[in-house]
Amino acid sequence: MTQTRVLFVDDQKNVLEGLRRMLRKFRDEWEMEFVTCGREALDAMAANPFDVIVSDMKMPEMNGAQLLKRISEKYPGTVRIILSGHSDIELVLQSVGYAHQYLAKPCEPETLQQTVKNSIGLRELLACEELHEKIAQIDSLPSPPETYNRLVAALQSEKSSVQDIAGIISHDVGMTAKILQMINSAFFGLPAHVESIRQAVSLLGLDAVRGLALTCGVFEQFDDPGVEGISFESIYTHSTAVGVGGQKIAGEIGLNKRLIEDTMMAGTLHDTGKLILLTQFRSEYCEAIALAQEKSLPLHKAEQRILGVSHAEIGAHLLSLWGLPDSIIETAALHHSPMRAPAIVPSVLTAIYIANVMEHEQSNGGNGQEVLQLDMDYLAGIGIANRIQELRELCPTEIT
Amino acid sequence: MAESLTLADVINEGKKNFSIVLVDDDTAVLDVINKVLSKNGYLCRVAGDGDEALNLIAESQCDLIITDIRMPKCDGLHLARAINKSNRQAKIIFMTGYAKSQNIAETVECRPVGFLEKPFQPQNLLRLVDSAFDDWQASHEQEKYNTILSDAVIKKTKQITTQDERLIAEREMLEGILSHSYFGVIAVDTELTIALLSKCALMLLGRNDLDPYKCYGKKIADVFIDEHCLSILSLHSKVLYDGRLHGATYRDTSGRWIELTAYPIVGKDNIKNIVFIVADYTERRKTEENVRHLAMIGEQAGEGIAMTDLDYTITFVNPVWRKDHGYGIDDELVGQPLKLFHSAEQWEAEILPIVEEVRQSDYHAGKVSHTRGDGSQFLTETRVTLLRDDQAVPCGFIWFAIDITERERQAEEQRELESQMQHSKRLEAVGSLAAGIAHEINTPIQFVGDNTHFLADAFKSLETLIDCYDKMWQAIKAGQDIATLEEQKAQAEKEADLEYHKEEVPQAIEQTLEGVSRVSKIVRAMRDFSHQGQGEKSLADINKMLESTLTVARNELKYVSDVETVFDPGLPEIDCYQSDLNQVFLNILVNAAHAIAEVVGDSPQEKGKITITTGHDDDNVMITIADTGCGIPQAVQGRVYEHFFTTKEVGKGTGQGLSISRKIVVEKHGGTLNFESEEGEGTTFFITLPISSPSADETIKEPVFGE
Repeated sequence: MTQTRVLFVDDQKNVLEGLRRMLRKFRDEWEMEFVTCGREALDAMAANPFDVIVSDMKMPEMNGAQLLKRISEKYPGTVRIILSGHSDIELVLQSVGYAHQYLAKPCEPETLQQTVKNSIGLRELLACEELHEKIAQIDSLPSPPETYNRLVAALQSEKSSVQDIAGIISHDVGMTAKILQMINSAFFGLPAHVESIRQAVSLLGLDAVRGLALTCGVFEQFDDPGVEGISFESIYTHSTAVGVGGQKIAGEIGLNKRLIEDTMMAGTLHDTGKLILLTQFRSEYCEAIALAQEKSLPLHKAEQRILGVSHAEIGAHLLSLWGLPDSIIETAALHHSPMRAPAIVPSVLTAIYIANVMEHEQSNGGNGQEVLQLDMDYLAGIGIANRIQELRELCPTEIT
Repeated sequence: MAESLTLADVINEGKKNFSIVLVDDDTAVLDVINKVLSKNGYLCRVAGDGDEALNLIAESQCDLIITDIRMPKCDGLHLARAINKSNRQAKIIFMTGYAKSQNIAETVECRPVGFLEKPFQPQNLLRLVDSAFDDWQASHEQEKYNTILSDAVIKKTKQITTQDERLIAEREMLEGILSHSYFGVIAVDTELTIALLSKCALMLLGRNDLDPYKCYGKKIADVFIDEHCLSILSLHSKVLYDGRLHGATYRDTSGRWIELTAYPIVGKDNIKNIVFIVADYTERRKTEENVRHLAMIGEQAGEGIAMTDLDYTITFVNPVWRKDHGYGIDDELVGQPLKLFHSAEQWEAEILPIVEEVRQSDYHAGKVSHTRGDGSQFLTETRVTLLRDDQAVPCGFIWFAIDITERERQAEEQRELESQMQHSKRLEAVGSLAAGIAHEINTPIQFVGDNTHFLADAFKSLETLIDCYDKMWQAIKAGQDIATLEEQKAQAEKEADLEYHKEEVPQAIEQTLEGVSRVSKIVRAMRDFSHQGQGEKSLADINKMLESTLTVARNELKYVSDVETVFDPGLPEIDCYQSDLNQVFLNILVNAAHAIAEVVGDSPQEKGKITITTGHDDDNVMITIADTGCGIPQAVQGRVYEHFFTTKEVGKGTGQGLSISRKIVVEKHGGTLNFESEEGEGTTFFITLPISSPSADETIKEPVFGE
């Protein structure tokens, strides 16, 4: 097993030494280096690039945001994490484009370990470094111009409520992902679990959302790239339908309230990878679609043949880089192959998996791709094989 | 009269026919007056009391009586009434040393021609006597006319009626009235032809140049000037119209107020004549006006007014007093005790001392609570003044009371608001630093936590090693060969990472303790910064306060500036408001940091410098805070102490820092706050604080500005 190379940057020597001692127990997994300023960090990167950089925010000469900006330009594959004692929203806004995740000082060793681990964990799934670099460079996901404009108008209006803003965001894959990235960063000192976009918006506060959207441009409008057979709109429509259906199924298969809430967001985000493919890998994606039609393959299998991985892994990788909750990442990664889940139990993944297949059954007709089939072994493993018909009836037949 | 006589002789001759009776029980007074009058050609007879005087009058004609009022047996008033009753024509002048209002009223009823208050100047008496003499002479003239008039009337009457003695008697009476009345009388017929006119009327209406008798038969308009004619005509037509009495008052061109009253004299079926009574209304009007003004003051004053006599019985209350105390306009308060507005205890404990004070010093002002009719209480500002009569003898109290409940409540609110404002300013100062302070705390907590985790792991490894040593020790005791254990020991030590731990553990402990002390220092500084001596002055070491402030502001400063402190080790402690001064230091330091950041940027290659110096002389402690920042532009140097003046971008400063700082240093501590600034070079603030602090009212109020 290759060691993960992690670089720590902090102008406080005591902090570096504390980290060095505490993380010594990971010395088998991680190869670590500790430097005291941005210049040294860039030198160390030049000597031998690191997989992950964990940097303090406020440092003399070159602050964390400035450092990470240069790293992202020069070493796009490096996962960039901020570890700061500042909870100043302005600093977050400064670095929001360059940092994948934020950690607040004081930070528990487990959190730090988990964050580093997660951020590189899915990298092994990706076939090539280029893929990873491209994904690591993404700082926002495309939103259709009309959604974007609606959000901007709503944010500029004094009359808008949290409900209004959350309503717009929660129907958009890109915005949902970005808001969850922000809210899950420990930087804000917010509770670890966020149930809904509405709660997220209200926790962040409308001012912060306004700042993120209008000043930092974390939401990006992007005209539909016009690939035949797939569009932003079809992805959003499908994702929302899967979210709604998944939530109903989640209730039926006995998930707790918290997981039922997660299911909606997991549904919205399960096809994040498709958005990435459409915008970052347009030609490969066109190829895959053609291949799927030609060979009558499910799309994800065609993607695998062309890119080595499917939209599922690609999406999950970005969500993981952005530090979204495990259940959402797992769902995105395994929504075509639930059997690969570490435990075969009723989960968010189960609900989305079923909802996704059923939604495809209803909407996917004549584009030549193979219709997805439910994996009966998996359902049997969970003990719901006999309830398929009943669950099928829960799924929405028409999404407006 | 002989041609050879002088005018004075003629007058003096007349004076001898003018008979004066002097009445006083004080012979000395009689003497003096007699001398004065004789010297001026008058002849006097003297009497010791009223009875004597009446005897003298009965003996022979008397034209003027000058009498004291208070005399034994028959006093002046009795005398005057007796004279008036007997229908004698003697005029009366009163003298008195005891002019009480009631007295005056009674004397006025006697219609004296003069009133002298003792002591009086002889010429005043003389003036009165002279004018009485003039009148007397005039009326002698008039009598002649009267006789002519009455003759004519009698003749006429005799032509019309055969024998009506009563009419004659009435005519006589009318003549009497005409010649002696102080009112003027005019009688006209329906055509405004004058049928009767008294000299007094001519005088009052500005025609004393005319002979009244010659006016008989003339039209009103031929006699009187327009202003009077108009009034007379107007009343005349009113009376003719409704046959009732009408009156008018007006001011003539000479400034005199004239009162005209007109009434009809009705014959068998219709109005025959109209009589006008003319009176000089000027004096009465003045009095009435005074009374009216006084009444207006009482009724309409914005504060409660009450008067009491010396026994605190209410003699007057105004409407405001009634309203404030919850009484209606009909509630009888006059005659009630003032105690009504106070509880028995308060009366004894609070009010009586106040009135005692007023009796001594005439005046008291203060806050007193009053009780309303319904028993509720309200706070007033009350002023009490001692009332004195004409003789300066205390005769009562006047109480002014303003309900200040609302005023007090507003003042209280204002005070509360101000204290809240000040508190929130301080919180704001701390709050603006909170993020920085959080960082200052979070950082050491990070490495304290990391090191502690490391120490926990290290201890586990060492524990395993100790177990291993223990086993080896047992083996040695059991006689096992040491050589075979050597290798085992080395292996165990390697596993436990002994060398590493030996090196790292002491450092980890040291750094942990350092972190803990850093956190405690910050926490202590924060407490010192915002809580020490809040609200009151206390002795404090300015050096220590600057250290605390530096600790609190460290995160704001350290990325942009090095800080050098040059502290005077012998700096005396001064009595001051510590948290306020800390706020001043903080304001200046944060400004300095911002000014330096303007020059070097947020994450600079080369930092700026802040130098803090303290020193003292016999009277003052001096603090200088110098920065190498951007400086204050010449153009705005005069404005930096203005409230809300700021050149910083929105969100960086509210523009209140220096204005509040100056207030704190100058007004609260009697110190000075100045600065020197060179654009592009930096700014130096100079603070001086007096070692012996002035009391609040001595503090300097004038502004101190830097150039």
